[in-house]
Amino acid sequence: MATQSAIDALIDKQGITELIYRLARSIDRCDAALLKSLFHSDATDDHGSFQGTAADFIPWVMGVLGTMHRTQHVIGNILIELDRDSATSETYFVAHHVIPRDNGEVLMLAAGRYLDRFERRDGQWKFSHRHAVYDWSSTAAATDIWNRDEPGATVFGARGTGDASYANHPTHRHAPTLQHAH
Amino acid sequence: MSAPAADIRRLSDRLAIADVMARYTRGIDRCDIAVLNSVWWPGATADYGDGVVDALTWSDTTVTALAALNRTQHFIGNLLVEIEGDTATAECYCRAYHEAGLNEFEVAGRYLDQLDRRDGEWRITHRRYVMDWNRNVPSTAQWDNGLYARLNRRGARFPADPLYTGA
Repeated sequence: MATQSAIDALIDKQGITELIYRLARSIDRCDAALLKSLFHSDATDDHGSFQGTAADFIPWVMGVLGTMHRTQHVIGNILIELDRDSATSETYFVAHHVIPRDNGEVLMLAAGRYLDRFERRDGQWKFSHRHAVYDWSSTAAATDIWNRDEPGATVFGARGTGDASYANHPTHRHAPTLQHAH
Repeated sequence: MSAPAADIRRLSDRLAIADVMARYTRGIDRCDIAVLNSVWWPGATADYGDGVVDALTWSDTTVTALAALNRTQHFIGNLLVEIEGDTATAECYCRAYHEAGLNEFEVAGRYLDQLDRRDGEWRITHRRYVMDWNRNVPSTAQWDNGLYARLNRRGARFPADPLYTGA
């Protein structure tokens, strides 16, 4: 039988893992309110090209995202070290950015690791520091072949609350209408 | 300090739902219809953007179509789960690699799922797919010559994959 401390550690690590996922979600959906909710009020951020408070990071990163058409931050390996009410983590990421350029688009991949720090205050884990380290990148002309203007053919990811994920919460569950299989 | 039972329950539910996501990708990539069908409750539906269809019918059609490609890899990442009693919703990132002929196609997006727990088991009742970006280029894969020639234990479909043969 697992000891209580092992169970507590699992629950803490799960909570911290979800903070990391939610930060990716807030960036990809350009959801500044969600992003703000993940940081302690005195948290800091170091993205190399930005170094400062989390409060200043939020408008900065939203501005950077505004120069891009879409992003997807895929999270992989997460290693978390717990030390009572503080924690550190190393998280692998591959960030995909579709950026307008020369009347077209490029797909820029940036891969690296987040070296983060967390604190639990009043029973709640939040980021105290986000630190991005870049390992490799790759840029090529975008080869997207979807017609995003064609209604109904496909469902595309969106920024803001128009994205389908905002309607997927349990309280918004709906019974889908089954159509003829095709 | 001891963890409340509700926290432990949530943790075990999340791990079970993560397994459902991984079984889906195994079923798809290995073209293993039995594994793929094990992620759906009877009557489950799926909507990949072109309408709501019966999930089991979708699985049959999709596995047949994917088997015609050279190979696929559905790489899942970020999984966020919200649980309310015996129902849950989930958002799961996925970057799907497909090689067909001499070309490769990558499709990246998210699965937006509704799940039910019945008799202690979590399965999907409805899956929607949202596409975020895609990439389509001539393949640069090297197999029997060059850098990777010695890495000759290769992925395959059910039942030839080393997962099943132990090779």
